[in-house]
Amino acid sequence: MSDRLLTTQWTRREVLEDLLVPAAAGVALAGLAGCGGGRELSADKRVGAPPLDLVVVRNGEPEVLVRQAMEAMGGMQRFVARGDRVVLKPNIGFNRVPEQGANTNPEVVRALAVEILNAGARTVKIFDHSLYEARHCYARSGIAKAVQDLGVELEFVDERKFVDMELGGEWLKRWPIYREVLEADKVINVPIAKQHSASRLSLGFKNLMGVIGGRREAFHQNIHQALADLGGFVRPTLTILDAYRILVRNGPQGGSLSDAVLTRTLAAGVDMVAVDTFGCTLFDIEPAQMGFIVEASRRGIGRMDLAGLKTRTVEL
Amino acid sequence: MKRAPRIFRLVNLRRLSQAVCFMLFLYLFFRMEFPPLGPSGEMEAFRILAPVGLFFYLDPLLALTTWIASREFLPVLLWSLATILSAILLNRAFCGWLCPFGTLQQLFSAGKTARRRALRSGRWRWSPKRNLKYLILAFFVAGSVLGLQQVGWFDPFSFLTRSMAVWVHPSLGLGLDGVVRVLDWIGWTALADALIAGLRGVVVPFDSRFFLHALLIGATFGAVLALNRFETRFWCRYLCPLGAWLGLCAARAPLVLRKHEDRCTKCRLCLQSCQGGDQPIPGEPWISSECHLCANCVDTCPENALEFAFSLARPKAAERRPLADLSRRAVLGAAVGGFVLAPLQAIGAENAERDRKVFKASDKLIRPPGARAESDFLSRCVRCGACMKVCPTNALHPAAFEGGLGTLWTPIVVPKIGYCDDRCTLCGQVCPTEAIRETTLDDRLGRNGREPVRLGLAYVDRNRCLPWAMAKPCIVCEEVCPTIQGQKAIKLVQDRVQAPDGRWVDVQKPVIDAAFCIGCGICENKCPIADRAAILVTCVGESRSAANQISLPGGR
Repeated sequence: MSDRLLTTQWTRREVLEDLLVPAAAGVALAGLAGCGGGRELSADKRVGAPPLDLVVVRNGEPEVLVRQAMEAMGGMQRFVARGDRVVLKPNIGFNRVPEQGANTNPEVVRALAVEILNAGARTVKIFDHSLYEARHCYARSGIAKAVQDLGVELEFVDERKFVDMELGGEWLKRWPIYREVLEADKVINVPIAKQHSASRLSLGFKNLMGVIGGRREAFHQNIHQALADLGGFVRPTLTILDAYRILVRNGPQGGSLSDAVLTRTLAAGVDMVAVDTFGCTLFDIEPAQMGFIVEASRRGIGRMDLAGLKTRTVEL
Repeated sequence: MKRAPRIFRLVNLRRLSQAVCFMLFLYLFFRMEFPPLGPSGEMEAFRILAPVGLFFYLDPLLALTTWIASREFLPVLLWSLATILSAILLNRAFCGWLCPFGTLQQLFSAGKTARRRALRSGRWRWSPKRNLKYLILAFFVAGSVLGLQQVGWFDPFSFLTRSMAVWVHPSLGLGLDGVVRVLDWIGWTALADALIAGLRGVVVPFDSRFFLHALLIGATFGAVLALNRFETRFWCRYLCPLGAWLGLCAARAPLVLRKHEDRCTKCRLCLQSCQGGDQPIPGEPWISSECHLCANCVDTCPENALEFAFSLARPKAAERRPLADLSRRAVLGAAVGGFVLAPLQAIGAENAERDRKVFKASDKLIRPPGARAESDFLSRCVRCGACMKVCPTNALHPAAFEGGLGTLWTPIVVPKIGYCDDRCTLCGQVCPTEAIRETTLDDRLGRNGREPVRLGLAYVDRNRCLPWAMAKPCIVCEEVCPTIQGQKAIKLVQDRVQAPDGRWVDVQKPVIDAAFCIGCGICENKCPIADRAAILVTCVGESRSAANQISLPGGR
């Protein structure tokens, strides 16, 4: 074909057969080669155990709560290494203002993002698979505004990025998980503590429902198993429970200022079960009555015996 | 005669004006979207600041029919007097210079073959068939006297906005989807991500949306554009009632086309490029009410035989025939048609008894928040689809015949596809004729002494609901139910029931507390029973209707 290239008139068919088909094949091959190169996707982001199992800070403003909690945990550098790609997962599920206690407090999110950046993280991604319309949620939660000047990436969930993963759960076998979580080096889970009619409380485990796709509304038919399955697969590096305000009624989105109670508390730990167990005490609920906590503890995902944990409580 | 420098020639100024107006239209269309930045006070509604209704406000056809049909003076439509004035002075310059729909027709009728066809077919010549647009105008104006605002089917801005919102905009989303999937497949993921980040919620939909009845709306749009291949600016010449209205206003316009027959060589270049089909060639009468002032004839004439001039003198019949061959009988006939067809469309006319029958016709006629009572609503809604474009949850869809012919393509909430966010007021912000009144968050949520705006009422289908029918836990509807005036409309009652296998299990069953239900439909939207939800919203209890209620006022 080489001499023809310059001398003859090309028909459309010839162009297609001689040039485009080989080119497309080449591109496809390169694409396939590219797929093979990635490392194995996993949602287990734990690092070594810190000296304390649980840190509780009380009576502070959001930023101070975060700073004190991280200090007691041994500093953010303990969990985030220089150059890490970090996912920060708050609750941004609802078209509600911070005072209504439906989303993670924007100041808590901001303070954490700053800590992560100061620890040397390369990127910080913040997102939630919102239950309400996402743009309303991101804006009205105050989180978009709180982090806009930090240089973090606040992204809307992109349906392309859900990857079907083998969860190996007792009920959930296979479920779509958000790729950013799988590819990140560290995942920091920052839920807000709320009342919820199916799981009774929405805490660290429930917050993970924001990193998955699929028919989430079907979880409720067996919510405790589902949450334990999910929490057994997605293992955050750190779970920070925002209880600056807690929503005690009409959860999980509330909407009325009187349903949110100012508790000015924050808890942190690497053990999500321990953090959620502590969360129950804020609502005067016996952890033993919480299906997903009992289930997760039975499976060894974490510990719910608060008395046996190395806990430090910081009163400000 | 010396020619003006190329850039200042009338045709080029006209092209510039068309380009600017078309881009402005697109810009305003794409700004009918969730505003990128939140309000300063977080308890306030999100507001669209761009004047997205601009072209509607300049539309004297909408002004005329809306004022007459609603029997109320909507001041913002006074802007359209500027357009009327332009027609009184400059003929249908609006059609040729400003109208974005006209520009689109022109784009689709462009090309050498079209120019040749104009001559060969003889369609450069005036035909009384073009009076059809005056009859369409008479038909809709007569309808508006009866309180029916149906001009939106043919009003150019309503037509264009609706077609863009329901057909073009979702198609752009599908197109981007396809491109992104190919890019992902060949491994250019970064480019795909950048495309999505840059375009989503700007020129393609934020969500992957679709609209009911999009096919019919898309097909009419395609047909109107395709007609341009049959004859240049077919829509403008034969169909556009706004063009007809401007043609009427231009009947005595002082702007005339002066023809120098002595210079004319009958090369017919002017006829080839004429947009309006107004017979610019010397020797034929000039039909002034058809002239769009595109100035192609003046520009292409190699002999300078044509020029525009201002003249207050009464024209000779041979020079100019405004509104040629428009027979009084035909106009009257069309107007009578507007009356005669009215009963077909009249659900929603000003008649309390008939108003009461609207929701009998369909319980799914759930109108957007802030919509007026049905008769009042139908006297204003121009079916432009702006509310459907802006709705961030894809909740608003063009109706079919739920309330009779008169509701075709007016907006209804379809909760199964999208719910109405309790803190969103965007549809009322973009409605050009205030068929949907703008609401505040106080209105929507019933704060500060207001009654919340209710779209309808949810009811549980106990034969399908998991806890009721299958003894399974669920409560998703209660979870998502927004809190209005301190309480959720869906409350849970505890019960011990026997499962199909005989075990006794404790379940929480949803029941509706109507006093707190605003009919937002999020329960129906999120119900895990995917095809027909076990909780459904119908329009009973809607704030806008006194009749469509369950109890007496206060007894809800």
